[in-house]
Amino acid sequence: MPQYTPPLRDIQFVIHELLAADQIFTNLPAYQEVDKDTINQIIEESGKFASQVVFPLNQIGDKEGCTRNADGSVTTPTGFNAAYQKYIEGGWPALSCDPAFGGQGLPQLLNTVLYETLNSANQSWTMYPGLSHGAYECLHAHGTDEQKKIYLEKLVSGQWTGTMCLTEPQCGTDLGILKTKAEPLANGSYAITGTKIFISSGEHDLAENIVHLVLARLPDAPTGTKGISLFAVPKFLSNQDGSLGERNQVSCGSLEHKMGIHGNATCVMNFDAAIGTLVGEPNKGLNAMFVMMNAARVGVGLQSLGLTEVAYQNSVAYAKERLQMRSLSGAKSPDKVADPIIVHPDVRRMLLTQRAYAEGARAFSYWVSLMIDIELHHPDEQVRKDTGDMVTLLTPIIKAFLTDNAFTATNEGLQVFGGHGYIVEWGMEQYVRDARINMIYEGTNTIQSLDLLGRKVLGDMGAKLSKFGKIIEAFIDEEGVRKEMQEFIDPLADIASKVEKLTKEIGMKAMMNHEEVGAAAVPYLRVVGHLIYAYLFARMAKIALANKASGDPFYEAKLATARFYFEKLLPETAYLIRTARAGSKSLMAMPAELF
Amino acid sequence: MSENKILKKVAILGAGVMGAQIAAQCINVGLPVILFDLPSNPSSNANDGKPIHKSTIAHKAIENLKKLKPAPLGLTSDAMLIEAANYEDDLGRLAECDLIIEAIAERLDWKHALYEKVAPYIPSQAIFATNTSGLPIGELAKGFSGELKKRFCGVHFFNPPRYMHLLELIPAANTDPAVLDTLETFMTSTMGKGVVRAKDTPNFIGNRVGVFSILAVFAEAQKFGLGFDEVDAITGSKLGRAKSATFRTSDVVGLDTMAHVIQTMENALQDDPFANLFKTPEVVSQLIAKGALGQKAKAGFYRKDGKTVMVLDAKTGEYKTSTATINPLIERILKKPIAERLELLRNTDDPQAQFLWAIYRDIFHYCAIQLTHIAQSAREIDFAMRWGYGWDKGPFEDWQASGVSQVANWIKEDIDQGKALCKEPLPAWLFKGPVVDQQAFHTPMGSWSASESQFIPRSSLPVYQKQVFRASLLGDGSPDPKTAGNTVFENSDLRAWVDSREPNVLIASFKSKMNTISPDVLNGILKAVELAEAHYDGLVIWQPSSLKLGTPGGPFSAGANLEAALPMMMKGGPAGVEPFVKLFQDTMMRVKYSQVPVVCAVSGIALGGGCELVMQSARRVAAIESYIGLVEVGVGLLPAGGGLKEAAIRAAHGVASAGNTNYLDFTKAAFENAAMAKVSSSAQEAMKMSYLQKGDIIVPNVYELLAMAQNQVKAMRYAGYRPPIPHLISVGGRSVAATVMGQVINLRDGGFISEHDAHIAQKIIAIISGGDVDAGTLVTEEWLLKLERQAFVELIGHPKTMERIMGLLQNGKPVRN
Repeated sequence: MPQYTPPLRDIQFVIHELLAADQIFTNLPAYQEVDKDTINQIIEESGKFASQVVFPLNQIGDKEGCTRNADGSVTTPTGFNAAYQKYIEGGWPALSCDPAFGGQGLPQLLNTVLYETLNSANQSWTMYPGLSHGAYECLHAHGTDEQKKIYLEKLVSGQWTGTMCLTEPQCGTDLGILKTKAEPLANGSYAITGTKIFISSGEHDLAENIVHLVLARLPDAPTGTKGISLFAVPKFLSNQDGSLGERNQVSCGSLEHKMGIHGNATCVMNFDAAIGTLVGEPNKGLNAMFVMMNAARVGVGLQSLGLTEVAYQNSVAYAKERLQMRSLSGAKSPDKVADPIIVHPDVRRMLLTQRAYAEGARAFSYWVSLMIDIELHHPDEQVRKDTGDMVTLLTPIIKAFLTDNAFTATNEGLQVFGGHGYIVEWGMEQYVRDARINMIYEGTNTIQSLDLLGRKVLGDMGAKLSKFGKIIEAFIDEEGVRKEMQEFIDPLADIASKVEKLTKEIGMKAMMNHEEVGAAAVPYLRVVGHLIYAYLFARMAKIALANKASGDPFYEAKLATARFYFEKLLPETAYLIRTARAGSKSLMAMPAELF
Repeated sequence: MSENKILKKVAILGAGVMGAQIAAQCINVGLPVILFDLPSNPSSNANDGKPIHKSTIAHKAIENLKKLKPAPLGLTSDAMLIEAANYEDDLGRLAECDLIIEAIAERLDWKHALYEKVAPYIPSQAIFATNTSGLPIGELAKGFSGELKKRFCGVHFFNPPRYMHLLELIPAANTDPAVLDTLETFMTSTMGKGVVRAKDTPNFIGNRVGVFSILAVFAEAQKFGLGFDEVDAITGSKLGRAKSATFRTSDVVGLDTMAHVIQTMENALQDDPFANLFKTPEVVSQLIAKGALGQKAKAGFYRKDGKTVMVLDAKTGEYKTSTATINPLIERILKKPIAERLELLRNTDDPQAQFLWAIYRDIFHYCAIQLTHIAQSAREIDFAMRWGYGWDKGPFEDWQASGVSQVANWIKEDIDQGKALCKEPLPAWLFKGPVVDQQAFHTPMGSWSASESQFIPRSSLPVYQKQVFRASLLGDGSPDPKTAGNTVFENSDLRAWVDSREPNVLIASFKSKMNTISPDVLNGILKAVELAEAHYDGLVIWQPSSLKLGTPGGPFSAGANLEAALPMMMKGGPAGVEPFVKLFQDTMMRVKYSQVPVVCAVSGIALGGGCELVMQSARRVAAIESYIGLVEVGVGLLPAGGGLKEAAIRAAHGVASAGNTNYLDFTKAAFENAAMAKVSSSAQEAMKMSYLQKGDIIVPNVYELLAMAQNQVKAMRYAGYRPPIPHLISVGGRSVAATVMGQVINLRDGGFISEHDAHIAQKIIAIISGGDVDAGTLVTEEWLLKLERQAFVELIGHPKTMERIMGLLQNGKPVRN
């Protein structure tokens, strides 16, 4: 019963008005042909595909879930396969892939739009092609020519899918203690043995073959993370002519029963001397895997953007129709038995929270996607490096900030429905359940926060962060002298200077006590997330102000949302900064046995 | 041969606040001075049994100099060098003086009476100058007859005379030009002032424009409904003016004094197109009537209730808590370059913005109209406002930078629309002629003279040849000291260069913020010493920032760059900082033992590592306003760039020359200086603290600093300079440290210093006394440096030190913990 309309206007606003992407593409030789029309066409088509083909399967998938059959095969929910075949026919898997392997060679930014809409429509389904794309990127960057030859075209076309196999029963966050073994074989390949758990899309009936990217240890490998290698392990081995060969000794042992994403097969995968080939260098598997993980982290952010948007759309529709109580300032629909609940301030708070988080997430993730395009394709090496630094810095924030916000947003969406939100039929509780996993997988949000603060910020004494700070400073410098921008620039300048101070403070505390980083990391990431949103909303407000005279209500809404963000969401930072500054003392004071 | 016109001795007539302070400045620059005032009434002292001093008034004034803030004397104890005298007994002593400055109360009749009395005693070559802020010099000149008129003119020191750079020199009709040249030379080089020649018009230049500016602020503040504290929040340093802004300055000056100056304007300037404005504002009259005369009466526009600053509410006449701040929008606009700033202010619909545009416009309007009457050229007005009122830029400089015609048209528009303070149109030269053609008031050919309708070059008096860089004006084509001369070597934080007039002296100038000492500065110094040894007579360390006037003025160096040390610590823990400390010490040793002299040209702050560099160079030339000290304790550290090592060496010299073994006596002062982070309040005090040494040069005029340093290098080189021979140092050892620590512990237990202060003090004394050794042990410099390094690394890892550093980096203030 939920509904979904691709938010084309806002997508176009971000791409054309906020980012002026087509202007940027003119500087990237690979994308010089990508003009506004091309972009708009693809956005419209991907929106159509997502809403018409994938969206109707969302509740079915949740209800049916996946089934593991006696032979170890897995059946996906009704309609998933057919939708996947249409996806392949439409050439969607190839959208932003390398033309050398059959890709369409379009920017990452467009793939990001595609994934936002697919995730709004059906996160569980989207995870099947989503992981394939991660596997494609990993093999494209680190695969041997042989591996590229075998896998890339098939992944690009969607004929095959991919997975990433990291987690084991005893090893989640701490990959250093993983046990899966890789024995060298005479022919140069390896026999992989071990059990991997929580493997999304590990087994299914959408594609004829699945390539698993598996972390395992070589016999003589050093202990810890420096002894991990990466292997490509296909479900079916390939014959010389490229046709499917022997079934490899990799199988789905069971499916997990989970809180959400029921439509995706979360598998226990058993590797029984399965044949695999080494990806990248021995013992440097994590480096290779990080390519996939970074892409996946942005991907998880997009899952959350998608859920935020769809939850918002449904709760708005409900709030406009549901009649309960009268407005506090007098009846707004006197001809009806009660006013629609959208008249109530707190309902509006819930709606605007979702809306602001959706618009902020869209602006942020599209901006970073465009940076990825620049990082990969700009002719100037320095620009590539600087932009790469930004992407590195911002990736954990995309993952953690967007997923935390999406949980809040879907939860508020449910709340708008009152008791009906708790009823399966309305679809709102599914969004909350689906959103919950995003905060956990691909590195929990605490891990993202530690990555941001410990590695990305303090690791270089704030050098990358201050590059980002300069972007904001330049904007404040430019816009801060205009009175109509003051309501946005004042708080932006304030939070920017607070982040700078907070970073220094934590950095200095950390020199004396490393636990300070752990104690401050989570609130710290949220504060930086808000800095980014404040910056982006200020930029969006600037555009809205400039177009005020156009009479287009879109700009009025944009401005209103920006104002809501600055007045109602950004102030959370005051609390966050205070807790971040409070340090580790009260956390570590109590002896473990007293818990 | 030209004649040496040396003014050997000065007499000051009138021991009021101004006269006494001028006398103090004479002492500061090493000039004998006699301070005259009325004889005291013998009967008033009849009963106290002490011998009667008839010069009691002058004596009291001299005593009072010791208490006055900001301190008029470089060294308080030098007050005794001023000779007290009275008009009854001592006029004969005027014969000793070459310059007599009269500085009695501003009453024409009193002044004339005094002139009549002293005239017979004025020696035949002496110059007689009156220090007045308002009386017409022409009228005053009538107090003298004949030949004396030629040696009479006006001088106008700004209060406080030690600190304000401006001196207005006002010729009377008959003043001999040679007398003016002699005085300009003397005031510039000997007294260290910036001389502006003014015409004999009411309030001369500085106060004419300055008081107008205050009255304009009053009027516009009322128009835009801004409170006094709000006006101060936006007319202070953020506007590029004195920190005390408008009304706080009025409180400091005294509202009665201000009313008096306004009165002068009101009386004398009835034909001024802005005459309507020249009335004591109602609120000022009311305050005066209530006795709220400003700071001296503890109430004025402001009043302090305990620690709360209260401000007068113009509407109610009551005081309320001062809360006004600058609108951040306006703050950002004020950070823009002047051209953009003015346009934004003018176009921004906000009372603070409109007010600020209005006061800019009013000043421009007034200066444009009055230029022809009050000054020879725009240069005099700009310098007077910079040097006398602490404005960063003069009004004509701001105007020129914003586009001469652009701004003229804006002002014209405002005048036409009745927004300006008066309807008087701008002069024609702003719309046609050379100023419009050049779009400039200041050009490389000179500055615009409205009275002569041409650009007039600046003074070519020989005294200015002592200034490698003269004070410059926007547009005058002066070289930028940051890039001038020939660059020999440059890295990101230091430039080594030569001035074409002294091609044999290498100059090193820092480029870092506050001239802090970073690894790049140290590597730059090493390179500069190497170059100087190979090709030059020696090396001068001089900072272009020294040309920034004010108190404290531009820095010599704020010390080692702590922020640069943090990443090292992040990577390698406290020990990660040691290589930086070692590089610092090695560089200082290289400076000390350089084969050619390294001379530091000090002015402003030289703190921490900056002080250590000063201490270890071959010689120092220092501006009077030099604030030198080892302040590391403030951030929980100690001097580790050889500062404590040098203290130990000086103690050893002291003991050796005294021929005893009383190490304690020779250690204590240096210990206290470092342990209490004392900073000198002048070059004289720095000398007393041994940061400057015998033979170092104290320079009154900071513009002459570089040339003095260059000359020192040459003189030392000609005198066959050799670096000191390294030798063993006899130290006081553990017993001295124990004695000192006994006192430190008392201070700690008494709550005078914190635990951490005591902890640092212990490390400091341990180093100055040479470590855990017997008294009289001979140690090497390297040994002492090693002690410094160890202690530094230990301290930087201390949580309380971290707290102090964090406080400094976060809030600009170290934490006391």
